[in-house]
Amino acid sequence: MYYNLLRSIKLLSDQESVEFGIDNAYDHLWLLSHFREQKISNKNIIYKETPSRRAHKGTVYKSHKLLKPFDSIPKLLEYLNSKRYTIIVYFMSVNIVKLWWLNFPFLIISYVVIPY
Amino acid sequence: MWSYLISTIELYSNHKSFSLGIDTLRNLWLLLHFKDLEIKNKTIYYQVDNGIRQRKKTKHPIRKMRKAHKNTAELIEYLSNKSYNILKLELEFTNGWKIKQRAYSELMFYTNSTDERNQLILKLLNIAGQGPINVSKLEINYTYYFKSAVTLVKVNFYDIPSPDEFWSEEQVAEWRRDVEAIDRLNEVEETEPYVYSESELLDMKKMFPNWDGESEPF
Repeated sequence: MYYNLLRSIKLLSDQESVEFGIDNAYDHLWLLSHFREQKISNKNIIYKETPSRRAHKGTVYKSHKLLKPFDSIPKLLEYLNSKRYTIIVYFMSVNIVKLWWLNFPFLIISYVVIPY
Repeated sequence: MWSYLISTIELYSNHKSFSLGIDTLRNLWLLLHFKDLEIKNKTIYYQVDNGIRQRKKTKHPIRKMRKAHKNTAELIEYLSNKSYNILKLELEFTNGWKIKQRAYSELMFYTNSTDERNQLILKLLNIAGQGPINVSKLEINYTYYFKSAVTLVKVNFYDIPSPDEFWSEEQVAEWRRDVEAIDRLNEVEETEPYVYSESELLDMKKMFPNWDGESEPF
C-alpha cells in the first residue's frame, strides 16, 4: 500500500540536486504541476499506449518518443491527461530545473541553470 | 492518463462541504495535511491484501480497525507498515471537520463554515499544484472535472443537480421523478425511426440493391 508520497530522499554529490523515491511515480505525474511556471527547454519522453481491458493479453504496444513540442508543463499535462499513455522514461529540462524520471522509482530534481 | 491529483470537485448543498475526485488507493498521504487536528472519532474497515504474493483464491476477512490514533500522522504511520486495503474510512476531528472516503475515487470534506470550505479547497488545490479557481462561481451539486490545472468543465449528465446527503427525502424523491422523466424522454427519442438523407439512401441502395427503402436493410 502507498501511504506516503515520498519514500526516500537523497542529496546528490553535485550539491545542487536531490533525488526523491516515489512508489509508482507515473501515478504522480501531477507533481510536475508545481513546476508549471517554468518553460521547457528540452525533453525526452518515451511512452506506450496503456492496454485497454478488452485488449488481448498478448498484445504488445510499441514504445514511442513524444515528438510533439511543448513549451510549458501545463500544456504537456493537459495533452497527456487526454491520452491513454504510460510513460516509460522521461527526462526534462525546464529553465532552471532538470527532472529525470527513470523507470519510475525515482524523481530526481536538479536545481541548476541550464543554458538554452 | 492521470495527470492531475484532483480530477473533480463538487460542492454540497449545506455550503460547508465538498468532495474531490482523488485516487484514494494511492493518495491517502493527503491526510497528513490534517495531522495537526485531533481525531475524535473514526470508522475504518480494512482487508489484508498481500498483492502479488497472495494466492488468487485467498480472501481475507473485512475487519473494523479498533486501534486508536490521536491524529492522521499516527494513523498513516501505522498503515505504512501494513498491507491493508482501506475499504471504508471516516474520520471526525475535534474541531468539527470530517473526512470520508468514497469508493477509492473520492474524498469528501465537511467543514464548519463556507469560509473554511473555500480555504480548504484552495489549500488542497495548492498541494496538488492545481488552481487557483473561483469557488464562488461553482454551482452547488454539480460535478466539475479538471480539464487542465486551472480549467474546470461542468459535468452535466442529466442537466439537473445531483443529490447529496443534505437533501430532504422530498427533494430526493422529486429528483428521482425528474431523472425518470428525462430517461423516458431519451428512450422515446432513441426509438424514433432514423430518417436517411438522400445521399445515404443512394449509398444504401448501391450496397443493398434489393432493399425496398423502407424496412431496415440489416
